[in-house]
Amino acid sequence: MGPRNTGLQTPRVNVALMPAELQHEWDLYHATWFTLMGIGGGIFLIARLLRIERQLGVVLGLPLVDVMSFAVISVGGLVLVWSLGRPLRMLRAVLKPGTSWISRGAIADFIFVVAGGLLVLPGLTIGGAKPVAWLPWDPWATTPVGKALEVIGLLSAAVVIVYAGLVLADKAAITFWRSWAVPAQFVLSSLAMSTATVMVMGTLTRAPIDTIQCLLLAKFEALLLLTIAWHLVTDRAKPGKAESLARLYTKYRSWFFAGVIGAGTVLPMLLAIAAVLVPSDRGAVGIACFVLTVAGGFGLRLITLRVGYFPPISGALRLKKR
Amino acid sequence: MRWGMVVDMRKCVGCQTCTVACHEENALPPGIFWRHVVDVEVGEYPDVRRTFLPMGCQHCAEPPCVPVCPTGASQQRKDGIVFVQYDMCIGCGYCAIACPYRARHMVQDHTWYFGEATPSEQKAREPERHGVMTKCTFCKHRVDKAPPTATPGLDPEYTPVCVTSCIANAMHFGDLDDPASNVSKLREEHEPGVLLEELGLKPSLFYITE
Amino acid sequence: MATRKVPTYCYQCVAGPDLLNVVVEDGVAVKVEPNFGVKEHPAGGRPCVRAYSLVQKLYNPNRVKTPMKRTNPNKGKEHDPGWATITWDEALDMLADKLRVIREAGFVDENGYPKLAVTFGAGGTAPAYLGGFPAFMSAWGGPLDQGIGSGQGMKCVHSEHLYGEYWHRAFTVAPDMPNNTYVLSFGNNGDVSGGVIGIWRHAEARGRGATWIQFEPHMSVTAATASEWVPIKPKTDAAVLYAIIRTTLYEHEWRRVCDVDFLSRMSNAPYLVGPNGYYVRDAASRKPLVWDEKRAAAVPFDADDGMTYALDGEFTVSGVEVGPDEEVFEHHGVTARPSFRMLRDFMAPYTPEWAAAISDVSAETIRRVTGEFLAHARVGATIDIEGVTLPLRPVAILLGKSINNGWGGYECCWARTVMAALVGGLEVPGGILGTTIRLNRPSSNRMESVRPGPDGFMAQPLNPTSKDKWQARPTSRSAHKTLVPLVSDGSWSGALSPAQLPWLFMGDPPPKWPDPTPPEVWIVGRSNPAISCWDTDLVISKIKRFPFVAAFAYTQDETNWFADLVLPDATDLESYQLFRVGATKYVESYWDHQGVALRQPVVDSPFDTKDMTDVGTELARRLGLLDRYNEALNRGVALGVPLRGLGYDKSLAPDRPYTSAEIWDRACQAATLSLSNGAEEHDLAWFSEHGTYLVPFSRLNWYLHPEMLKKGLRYELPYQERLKRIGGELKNRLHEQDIRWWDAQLEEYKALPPWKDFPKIWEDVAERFGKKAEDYTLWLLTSRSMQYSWGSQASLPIMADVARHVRGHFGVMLNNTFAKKLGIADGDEIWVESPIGKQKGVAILRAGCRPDVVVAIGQFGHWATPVAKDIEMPNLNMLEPIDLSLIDATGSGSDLVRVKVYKA
Repeated sequence: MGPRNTGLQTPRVNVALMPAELQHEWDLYHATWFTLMGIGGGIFLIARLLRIERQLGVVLGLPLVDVMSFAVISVGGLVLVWSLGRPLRMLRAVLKPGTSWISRGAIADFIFVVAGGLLVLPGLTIGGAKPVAWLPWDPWATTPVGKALEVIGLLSAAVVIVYAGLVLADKAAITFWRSWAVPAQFVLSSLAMSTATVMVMGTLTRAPIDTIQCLLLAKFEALLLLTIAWHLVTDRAKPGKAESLARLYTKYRSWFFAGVIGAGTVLPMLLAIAAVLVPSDRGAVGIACFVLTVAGGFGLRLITLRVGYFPPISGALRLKKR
Repeated sequence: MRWGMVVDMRKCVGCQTCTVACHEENALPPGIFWRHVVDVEVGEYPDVRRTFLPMGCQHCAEPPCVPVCPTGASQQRKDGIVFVQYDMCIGCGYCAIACPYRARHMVQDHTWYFGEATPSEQKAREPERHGVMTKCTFCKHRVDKAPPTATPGLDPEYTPVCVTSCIANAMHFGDLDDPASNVSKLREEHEPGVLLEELGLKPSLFYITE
Repeated sequence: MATRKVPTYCYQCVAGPDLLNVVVEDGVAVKVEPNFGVKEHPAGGRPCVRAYSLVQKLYNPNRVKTPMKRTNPNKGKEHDPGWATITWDEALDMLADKLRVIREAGFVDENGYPKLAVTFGAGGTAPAYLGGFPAFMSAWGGPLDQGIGSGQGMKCVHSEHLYGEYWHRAFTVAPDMPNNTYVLSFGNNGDVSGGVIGIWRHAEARGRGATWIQFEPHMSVTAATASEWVPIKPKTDAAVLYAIIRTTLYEHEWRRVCDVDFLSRMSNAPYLVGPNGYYVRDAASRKPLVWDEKRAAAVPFDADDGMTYALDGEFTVSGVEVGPDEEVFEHHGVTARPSFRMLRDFMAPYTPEWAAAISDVSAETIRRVTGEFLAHARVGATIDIEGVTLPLRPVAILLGKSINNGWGGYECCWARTVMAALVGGLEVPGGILGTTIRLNRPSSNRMESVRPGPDGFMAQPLNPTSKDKWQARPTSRSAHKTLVPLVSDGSWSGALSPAQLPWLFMGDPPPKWPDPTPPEVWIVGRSNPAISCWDTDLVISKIKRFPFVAAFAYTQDETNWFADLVLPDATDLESYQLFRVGATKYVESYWDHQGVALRQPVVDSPFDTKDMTDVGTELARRLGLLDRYNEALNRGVALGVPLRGLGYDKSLAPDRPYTSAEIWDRACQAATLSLSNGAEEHDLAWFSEHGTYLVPFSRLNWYLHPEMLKKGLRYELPYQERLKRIGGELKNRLHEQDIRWWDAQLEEYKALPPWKDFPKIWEDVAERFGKKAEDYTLWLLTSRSMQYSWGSQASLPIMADVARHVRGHFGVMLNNTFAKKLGIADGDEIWVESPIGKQKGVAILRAGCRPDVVVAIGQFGHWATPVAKDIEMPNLNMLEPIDLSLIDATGSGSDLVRVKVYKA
């Protein structure tokens, strides 16, 4: 063998063999699913924790907010099922709770609907009759069994609003998602959306909107802002995240900063603060905040999905010179 | 036993023969390629480097695609082959999101190259693969057919088609755990690297570079 | 489920045939596999990417499925042909009637051109698919024009074909890769075009650390795999090659680095050249003289073996020089110099600095690679090949298309071959080899084609240029016999002629030239000149005027759009043919075995196709030519083996038609008997199962060297005395006819060809079309796509799906930094405009491309071919004029054109 080309003697360097690539796997359906789960679990949590479920209306003897919660969760679930390649096999999704956040989430959804459903069931009134009133608890969790069901419902609702973010943050290959900030954002956004929803329901049922609701909403939004800010300024050069941020700052610049942050987060926060000071306008604020936070929350989830980049695939190569 | 591949990037010419051979062997629909060769160009004129990177499932020893699967359809065999049990898959896409090598491919509906299925497409179609996640199987249908007298990797009938179709002889398949195997010897001789080593997924594809 | 594996071959490029199995399940072909059973195949029995499209090619619903005739008498791009389905009987009757009229009224028209023309193009691949049809052409009995081009000359390595075969029986030139360690490649894209064997061997060489330096304006696949890429300016390759020779002869001690013994005994380096530039010859015997340093006297070159040849110096000698038309210059005591000295003097101005200024290749690089080349050449080293000691010279210079054809092609081919001769690396292990011949006979045996010719060189069947024998009035529209002495007049010569000329001259002949009339019947198949020729608008404008066109058609395409009759093509997997494999063939196909492989119907044809052999038989029968047709087959025409041979007779009776299967059955038997010297006989049934029959082939047959030694012959290098003389004669002949429009081409006939400003030839094109040269500052080049060549893959969506993984599909490549200056981003639509037209495409920005170069790979721009017409991809052909100024002396032209690009 003769002398090797001198160009080959350059050292190996780690180079990006494949550039970062946008994920196209998850999009609208998934953003919708995440949003609905966030609202569904959230309103149950907020209403029950604030113990205002009764004020928010009763339908067929059942707390309206709970029924809403189950309905939204069910629609979210249907959206998820619709997004599946094989929807008829959906029940299999619960088989791997040990390792998969989708399984855990699906189980939480299931438990939530069952436990919550059982909890409110004794209140069911059809044509004045209460066919299952014999059950040893009531929808307002005043008995030990009812309390236990409510706790199960609350715990599973908590999982419902957190798992969407954990699906992204736990094992996804997308760098932008691999951060506690994503589930935190999703949870905070869920709570904000839910608080605003509860406020709207209160307005519709002429229930008083407590200051605490306004304060909570403002707090959730403030925390959300902080989390988003933290996520934007950390690990900015990390392979994959850099590309995501670049896309966020270009293609989604206005949608994200003016839409999600400005209109969807800052504005409801300011409105909520204003509502603390001006109790008379809380109904209008609630409606505005509902529209803004839900649109913002959906936007946050959709944009998070849409800026998801697989990181570049790198390997060690010798770079030849001319 | 752990099946693996050693890819000699010095030899690969990026011709995509493996790409099309895999596509045909596995009767994949239009646009779905379980593996292909990436045409890489780095640097700036005139200091440019172009190279060809055969890419597919890396059959990681620690595959992130397996634990995320909510149904258990995404599996890893004892011999290291990572595959999808199609009849268990619900097509949620989580494994595709989890794979940093982008090696998983969702097959949606029946599609055909000319709108209608040609006789060969009709004959080779795999209905169980619709609506589910698909990926390179290391041609386990070939590997598993090997009688005790044959060695996958050495005997083309029982070797993944990308390897046997390669016209530059750039790819080698064998048992990474057997120190006497073809792939072990190549690893010893050339100290090939892996992609995204920093993720610690312990891929089974090793790349010989210059 | 019944699964069969049917062995067959793919010959969708001349580097094949690639052997493969088609897997058939329940009568449906489902996939292609390598044929691992053929252990003798140098690339492990593996076919390339295109072979895997054969199943889709078979079942493509867009195929022409039945014979059809035109109902719309208006021919034009805008006029639908109005196809009407007819039966095969009707179709064959229709064609036979047209042919019968020709036979009855005379084969030749009033301008002297054959009324029947056939064009089976596609880079030499057609013979593997024509079945017995060539026997019909042979039985035709009259002249038949094969010079209506489908891209030959523009799309082939034309100068290499002609000069390569002339110098060392190298219709294509290959490196002896198994023994080679160092390649200087000028645009040779062998990792795309080298076939599976070439690619396999290059890869093995890289694996063992061989060096490959690629000089190329853009970073092709081969540049990517190379050790080093040198971005050379287009069409300046000859300058660098000249500087490499110059560096060898002036900056190294030539007596040490050159193979002096080879030069003395195997070349014309010692032949003395007189003041008129011709050899000084012995007055009586007319043998060229050399200077014997021992005797200190000039003696005939073959005086004896023991002499010491002078390669350098000036000597006073007596003798004669013989110029064109036997003009004799008598000399008494004239100064003569050996050819080698002539070369050395000639090369003096071509310094690396000179070449660097022209080519953008630094003088340092030229010096470095020259030094490396000479070190790797290992002059003096030997190797044992099957018990015979041969020189080992593991170095090669390779040329790519557009470097080895068109203007500058001669200079590059010459310099490359001279460089090989200087180190004795010609036709020896490690060096450059010719692997196939097409102009000499027998075409299946290079060694046998080595026959003694004039002046100690090999004989070459040149077209005559003497006053009495020159063909003044062309008998083909491409005038190969009249204009190109080197191309000979064999069965391939028409196809290798200046095949652009018919398109250029038809209806618009130059002065003193009979107008090339449209042929009364044009049979076209396996080619699409309306896409693959330059100046497609011009080509189409001429095809439209052809009175009757019969096209063998795979799908509707841009050429058969103008046909009167289309006949559905029986594709690769639908018909029989036994084809030669192994031995030494095109490109890098040289084996340790030789034999034959069967192509066979793998399933019942899904459509109403007919085996080409049956088509030939039916036409012969209808025209009453069956006896001559069968006799042609008996002689081996189309079959590759005579049916009557030593110790066997499988011949066909003259009076009855045979089916394709019957004919190929006999060919199988004859071929096996012939290959085994009568020891083995296998019929079609055996081949249907086994596919291939091989016998050993001595590696000594890879190299011409032993044969040249045995026959005492020399290579006609470096000095081109014969070409100079022929050129002089051709000039005399043409000028006697007052033909001056070929004068520029006549300048190519130089004994030592000087560098010309080749790039300027293309820069000047704009002015010829009324445009300004300074408006077209970029070079548009093309480059081979392995996924798309010759096999109708453009109509197969699987190939588009696969090809999009390879850079360049589907757009126009240009330098990223340069593009930014033009405001062009990756993915933008851009116009590429030449002086004759413009094409739209998507910009693909690359670092691996010179800033003054734009590259459009493959040949697209379809407007009729299904699937292909949806691929928006510019085609250089549509931007390149067919123009006399771009046609060289061999009739070829380089694929490049000056363009401008701008955002669409």
